[in-house]
Amino acid sequence: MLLDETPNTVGYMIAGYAVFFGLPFLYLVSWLVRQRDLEKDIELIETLSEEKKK
Amino acid sequence: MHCRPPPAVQLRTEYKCMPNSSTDSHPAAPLPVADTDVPRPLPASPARTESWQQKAADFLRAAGAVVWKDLSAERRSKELVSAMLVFSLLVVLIFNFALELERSRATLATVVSGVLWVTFIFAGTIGLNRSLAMEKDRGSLDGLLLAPVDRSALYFGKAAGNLLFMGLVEIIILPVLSVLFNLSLINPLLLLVVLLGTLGYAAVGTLLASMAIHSRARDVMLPILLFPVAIPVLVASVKASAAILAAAGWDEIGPWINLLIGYDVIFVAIAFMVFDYIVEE
Amino acid sequence: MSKSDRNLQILNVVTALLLVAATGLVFLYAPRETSMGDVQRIFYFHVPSAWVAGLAFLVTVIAGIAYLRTHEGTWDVVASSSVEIGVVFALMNIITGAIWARPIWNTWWTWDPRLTTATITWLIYVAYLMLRAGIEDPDRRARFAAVYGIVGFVSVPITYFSIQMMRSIHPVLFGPANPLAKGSAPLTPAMLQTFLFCLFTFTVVYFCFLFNRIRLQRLNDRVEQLKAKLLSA
Repeated sequence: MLLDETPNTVGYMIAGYAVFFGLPFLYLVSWLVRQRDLEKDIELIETLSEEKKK
Repeated sequence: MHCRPPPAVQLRTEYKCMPNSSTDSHPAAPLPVADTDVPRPLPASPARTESWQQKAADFLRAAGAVVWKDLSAERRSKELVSAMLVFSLLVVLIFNFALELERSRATLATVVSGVLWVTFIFAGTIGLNRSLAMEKDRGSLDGLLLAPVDRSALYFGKAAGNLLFMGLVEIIILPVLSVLFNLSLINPLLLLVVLLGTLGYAAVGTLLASMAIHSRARDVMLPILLFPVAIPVLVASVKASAAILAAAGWDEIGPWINLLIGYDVIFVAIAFMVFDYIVEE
Repeated sequence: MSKSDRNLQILNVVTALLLVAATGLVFLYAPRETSMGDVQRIFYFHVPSAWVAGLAFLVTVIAGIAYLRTHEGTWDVVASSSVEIGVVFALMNIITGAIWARPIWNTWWTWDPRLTTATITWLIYVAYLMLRAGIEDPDRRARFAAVYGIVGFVSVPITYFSIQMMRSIHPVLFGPANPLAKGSAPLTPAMLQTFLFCLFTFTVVYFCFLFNRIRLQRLNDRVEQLKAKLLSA
């Protein structure tokens, strides 16, 4: 009887926590991508300014 | 030291003189802010003896000048109101075909109220966009900014002008809708709600439009900025209008009107406080 | 590694540890709620997400006002960084709210005041980010963002109030009656402890994200400056 009363909603819980961890994870990945792009830009700018000096 | 402030113009910040290197023997000396050599065509701030009545008069005169400018321009070209009007009629038409608008008296009030306000909001957005965009494109905003007036007067004038244009369109659309839905919309209480709702929408809309026009995606930026923030106006106006059209009691109408008044007061006050920051250069 | 970088690393590690602990508490320490089942555990991260979003947007408004008064770029960096974080957490809040609602209320969505206001708030700050993206001049961008931040922030409580009024004047059941609305069920001590710990953890997470995001923004601004210098030289 008691078992009947508590519904089995584990699936939804897992979905919820997938969002809780997934979304920030994706957000952090976007940071990594941006960071790498910016570092590449800095390299590019440094090489360009070297060439300009020559 | 030679300083040349632009003639007959005052700037918001104190004008700092830049030393002329040939005549200035101490380039490192601190720059005097108030210099007796500086020609001052106008006082940088109103003389302390100017009363608040005079300031108010200046304010209203400036705002009135802006409104008058917009009205005259519109009287000549008629492009703003005509666009808003045609668009409104088309929106009503689309609603008629898109939604099965029941004619049963029970839901008529709600339906008409909804159609009314969606139409006003869409048309109003067009008006706001074009009104501010024209200022920017013609450079008249820059001209206005050179005038020695409180910036908020410009906001007040623009918002009042937008309110007038929206009001003009609404005055025409209301009888049209009355005919189309066979329900009288010429009701003093309803007109009050229309006024309050339009006021709130125009107040926030003018503020946000003056920012949106500087954005790259400027046509679509205003709705994106405005709609979420204008939800209280929409909710209150629609609910109040529906209640009025359904001849409901004051208990159902009053709270919404209070909400509208509250929203209007709050956002006009905010607009007055922040508009300076939008147009400062 | 400079001192601030090292502090940031420490914060990152501490935050990660706190998150592990919080997750452990949620799944192992907190009891299973009898009326809703395991889905109720979403509550422990769901409400703190809303809290972080609210905190983030509050920080944005304050930083925006500070920028308008001082014109110091740092304030704008704080404001823009905070909004991004707020938008992510607000989205998390809305989606997990819907996931939680589905088995309990038998619907993904209801137009109740909290959920509707949360969505509108999210839209306001997405619009904030779009406004920023469309303006080139940094000072103008910062000023406009600050103004919209103020307008948006003030509108949220008014919006909530208006939607709530909508329901009270015309009491229509938007969904099946649910006496055990989210979080209103009585919490046992273990649940309360878990919740408070998660709330604390999420606050730390917010600041950790914020400082890291600020660092990224500073890098971005430096690149912009170098680009400008290169083009003008």
